[in-house]
Amino acid sequence: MPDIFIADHKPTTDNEKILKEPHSSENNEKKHHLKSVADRLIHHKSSSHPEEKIRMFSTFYPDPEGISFADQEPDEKILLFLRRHYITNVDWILLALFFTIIPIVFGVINSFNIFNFNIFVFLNFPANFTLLFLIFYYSVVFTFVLVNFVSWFYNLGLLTTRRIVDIDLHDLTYKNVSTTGYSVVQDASYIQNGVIMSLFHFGDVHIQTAGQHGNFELEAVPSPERVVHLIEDYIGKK
Amino acid sequence: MNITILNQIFDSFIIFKVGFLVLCLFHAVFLFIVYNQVRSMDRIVSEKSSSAVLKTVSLISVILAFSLFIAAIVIL
Repeated sequence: MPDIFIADHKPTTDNEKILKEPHSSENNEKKHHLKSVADRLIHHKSSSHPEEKIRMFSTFYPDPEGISFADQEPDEKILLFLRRHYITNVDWILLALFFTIIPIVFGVINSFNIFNFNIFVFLNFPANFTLLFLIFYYSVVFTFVLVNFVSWFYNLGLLTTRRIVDIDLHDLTYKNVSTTGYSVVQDASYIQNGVIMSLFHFGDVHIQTAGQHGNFELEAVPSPERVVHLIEDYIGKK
Repeated sequence: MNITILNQIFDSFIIFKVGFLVLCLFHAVFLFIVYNQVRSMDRIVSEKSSSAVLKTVSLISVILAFSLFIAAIVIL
C-alpha cells in the first residue's frame, strides 16, 4: 500500500521563514514573538472570520487580505484592520429612515382626505414639479446616507508589522492621515465609557508616543483590549 | 403695466423654480465633491472590491444629480 504523499510546505513570507529557521538567538526571539501574536490573531480569526477576505462592512479584521494603503512597504504586512463599531452609525441611520418615511406618511394621510391640504396644489404648482421635488428630496436623503457612510468607511486604523496608521475623514472636509512607528510608542490604553460601549464591547484606544509625535486615538473600535495587547507586543520594536 | 411685470417676476412659482434649480445645482456639485473625495481616499487606502463599489455608487449619484438638474431645467 503506497504511503500518503504530503507535499513540502515552502515558507512564503519572511515571518514564516523565521518560524522555520531554528538557529540564531535573534531568530528565536522573533520566532517566539511572532508565534504569540500569530496565535492570538489566528484564534480570533478562526472564531469570527473563517478564511474570508475582508468585507465592505468589516470593523475588526485580523490579518486582512485585499487591502493596501499608500506608502506601504513591500514587506510590510497589515496585522489588524479597524473601523468604528457599527453601533456608532445608528444615529444617522435612524435619521435617514425618519426622513425617508415622512413623504410616505404625508401621502397616506392625504389619501384618507383627513386634512385635504397639499402645499403644491395650494401654491398652484404643476404636478410635474411635485414629482421633481419628491425625486430631489429622496436624492438629498440618499446623499446624506452616502456622506455618512463614506465618513465611516474611510475612518479606519491599521496596525502593521512596522507602524500604526490612523486615517480620519470627517464630513468630507477634514482629512487626516497619520502614522507612527512602534519604536516611539510609549504606552497604549483603552477607555470604555458608558453603557453602550460596555454593552456592545467597543472603546477608544489611546496610544501615547514619545517626544514631539502627537498622541494617537483609535475611536470606538471593537474589542479594544485585543488592540492594546497587540500594540503592547510591538512597543519598542523597530 | 409695471405692476403686472413685477407680479410676474415675483410670482411664487418663478421664485420656487429658480430656488429649486439652484438647490439642484448645489446638490449635484456637492455630490461631485463627494465623488472626488472617495477617489482621493481610495488612493490613500484601497480595499479591492469595496472601493470599486463605493466609487461606482458615488459616480452614479453624481450622474443622477446632474440628470435631475437638466430635467428640472427642461420641465419647469
